[in-house]
Amino acid sequence: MSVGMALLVHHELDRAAQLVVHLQSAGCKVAIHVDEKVKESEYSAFYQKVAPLEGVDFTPRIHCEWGRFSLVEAQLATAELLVKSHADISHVIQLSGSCLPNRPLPELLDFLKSRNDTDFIESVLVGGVNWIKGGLEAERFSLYFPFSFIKHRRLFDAHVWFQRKLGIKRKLPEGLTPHIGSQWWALTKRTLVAILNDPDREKYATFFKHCWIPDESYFQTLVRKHGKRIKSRSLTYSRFDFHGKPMLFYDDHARFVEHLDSFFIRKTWQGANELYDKLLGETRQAKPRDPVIAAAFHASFEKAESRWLKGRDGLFMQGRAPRLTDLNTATTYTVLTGFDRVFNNLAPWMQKHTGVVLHENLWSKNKKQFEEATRKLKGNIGSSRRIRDYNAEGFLLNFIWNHSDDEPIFNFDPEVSPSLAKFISLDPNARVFHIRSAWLLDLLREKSNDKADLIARVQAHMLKEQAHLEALEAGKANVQIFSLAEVFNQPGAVLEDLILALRARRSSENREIPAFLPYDGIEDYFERLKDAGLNLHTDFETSLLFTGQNT
Amino acid sequence: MRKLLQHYRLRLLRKRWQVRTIVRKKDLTNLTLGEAARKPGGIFLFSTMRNEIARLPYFLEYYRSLGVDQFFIVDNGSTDGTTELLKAQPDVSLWHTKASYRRSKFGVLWINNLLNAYGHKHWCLVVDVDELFIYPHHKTRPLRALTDWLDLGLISSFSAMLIDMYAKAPTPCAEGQNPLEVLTHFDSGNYTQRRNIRFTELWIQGGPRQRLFFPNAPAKAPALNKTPLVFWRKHYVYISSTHLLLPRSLNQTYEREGGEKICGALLHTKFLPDIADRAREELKRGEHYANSAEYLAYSDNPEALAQMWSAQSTEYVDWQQLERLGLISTGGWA
Repeated sequence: MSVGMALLVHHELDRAAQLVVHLQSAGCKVAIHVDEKVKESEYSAFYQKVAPLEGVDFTPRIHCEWGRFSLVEAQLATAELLVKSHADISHVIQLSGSCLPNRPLPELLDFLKSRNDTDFIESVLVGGVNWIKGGLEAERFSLYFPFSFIKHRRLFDAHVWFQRKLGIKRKLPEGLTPHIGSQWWALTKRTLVAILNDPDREKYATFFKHCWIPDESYFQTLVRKHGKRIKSRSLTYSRFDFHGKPMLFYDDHARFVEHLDSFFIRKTWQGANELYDKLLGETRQAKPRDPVIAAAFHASFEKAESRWLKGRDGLFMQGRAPRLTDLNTATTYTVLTGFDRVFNNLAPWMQKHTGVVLHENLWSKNKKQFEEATRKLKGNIGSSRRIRDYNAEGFLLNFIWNHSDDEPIFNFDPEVSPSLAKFISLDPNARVFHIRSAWLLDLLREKSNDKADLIARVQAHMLKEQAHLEALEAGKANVQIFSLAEVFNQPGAVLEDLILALRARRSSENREIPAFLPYDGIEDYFERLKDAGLNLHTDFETSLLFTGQNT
Repeated sequence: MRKLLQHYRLRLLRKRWQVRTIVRKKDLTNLTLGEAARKPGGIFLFSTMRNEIARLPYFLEYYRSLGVDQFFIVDNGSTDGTTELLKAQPDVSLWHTKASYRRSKFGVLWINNLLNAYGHKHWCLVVDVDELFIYPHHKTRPLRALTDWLDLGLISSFSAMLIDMYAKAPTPCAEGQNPLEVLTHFDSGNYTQRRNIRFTELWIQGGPRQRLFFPNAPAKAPALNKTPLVFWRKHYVYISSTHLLLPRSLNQTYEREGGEKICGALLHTKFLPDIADRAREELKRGEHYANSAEYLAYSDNPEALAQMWSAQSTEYVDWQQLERLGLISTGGWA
């Protein structure tokens, strides 16, 4: 018993010749169809090389075009040639010139010997799970496709659109259920003969001539009529990306391929010398398949595909420039507003209790403070304030991207950078802890006596803060707002909330509270402003609990 | 209507650049023409250079090993033996000119001329002699594997941003030595981008040059976005070094919907220890972009030039590292 190989060759004839020699020397019968598009000189060189080999035959050449029935005709011709000229074959395997055996051929022959009644063909019922990547499915059968997808793309699309509008629905010939699957099948001689000698073959041909990509449906549908025992699985490993483009194998895949759960792989890049030498080597030995290695291979493909489709959140680079409306940062981060006006040395306290680096002066206007802050940064970001402010959103994105393994947390004053404040308010990854009216503490410490000026400034701050809080409210950021009274009265609870929100949360026991910055006379100050007619939000009016003196 | 008008304006601009290109054709005198200069389907490299005898041997070796079939080089009046060395290479087609580098738009017009004459329907790589092109899998797959894959996906331009390489401490680089053995470090995370509407390109800035030489004028820092690899057609033009191309669709080497398009990098080996001398010489010639502002910045700040390394710098390992850092992407090419 032997196995027939039906080989469709379109280009890279040198590589195809290598494959033919290899198949033939393993005792396989080979029938070859060479696309009519191939140059005559190339064809004759190829012919002279492999035609003299015993058991290698050529079919007449026809012009093949992707997606059309000519490919099925070529498949039928090679299959017919094989079953007619060789009585002793059990299976016919459909291959292309850029396939390679990923397991030694004797192993395949053994495998088929014990399964001489099984058809290996991926054959999936249309309308079920999505088998197709990017394209038509049921409509492949129900519409007419007289135009070339490659040469007349617009006409092709327009014609599909037009038929949909008209509601055209072709009927399948009686007795057929549409199935679809990979064109790289291995059918038993018995099934093939039944398909070839089907009394309705002409009728089916007429139908499939107007189907789209019939090489993925002709045999897949007919095997359901004639097959005895169908294993809906291809012996050839092939993979398509989401554009429907076949994946290619390269030299660096050599250590993976023999572990794939198949006997052939498709397609191999023509320049993969090492892979060709290894897989077509005369004395080829293969280790048993290791599913772990195969899984690693699949994972690397999925990773690459996810790069292309989804990309990495928060990354802005030469190949990825998502619109800022679909904003995404690399990871969750924490924004503290007002904490630097209340607490003294919050950063060392946080470092001690949580191990997290609080970037206090990331947005500082002060040159020295900022330079100090940049020393703690990764990735050489922020060498000057001008560079930081030149593209502040870019700086923030870089900061988060570079520190996404840590816990990005920084002090931020929305008044200093309103555009960035807006950016943060729209980011679902932002967790904002805002102490309301904390700017009052700056004014308090100034001890200014110019009442009119003070009122004007307070009003300005209030309006800005109000606008910011409204933006936060309307945005997507996660926001917690504290009043000054809350912070001064229950600093432990406020800090506890903050720490619980961090990824690196620690136990809350025995944690001392960091010292406050001076805030003497705040009630008095607040009363004066209130009496001057300002409606401040500090919560002090209802809970004036701390030990100040009223005047 | 506005769209149509804009389209037409860009077309006019492209035509203007084509005319400019043709005008500068007279600058070039052909010295040698390699055998493979007309090889169908060949991968071609185009470059302008002047006095690059130290870098040249490694440059040729590097790109030969990637699979470049033919080098098309404009020699802008070298005096250090560059011309002689190039003449002796069988795979180099050489042109000579003593005309002004500045007036040829910093070499762009010369290169456009050669691209139009030889590059039509070829994959063309346009690089400077201090740029080493890398791309995903470059250690195991030759350039042809990349261009075949791009062909399959109907992609006709490939971006590779400049990454400035520098030494931890100044070390001399011997003639013909791989400059990356000396220039071991780079900035990993300080690049920012803006998308320009007119030519739809991403304008990328950052890296050590912005950090050290333009801290107070970041907008003036050099652009790092480049599109050096293009499946060339006669009507294309480069209009600003390899940063910008027309038609503008060639500049769209990025995804807008969140995905990452495949891209590589040009490892920039400009900052060898001879950079200070070079800067002085180039300033004297005054033939560079924006009145040689960049070289002015170097000579104004010799300390920074001598110490580009910082404690946050990253040591270069391989392309996988750049991929992890998010500077390049495999974009679906597994």
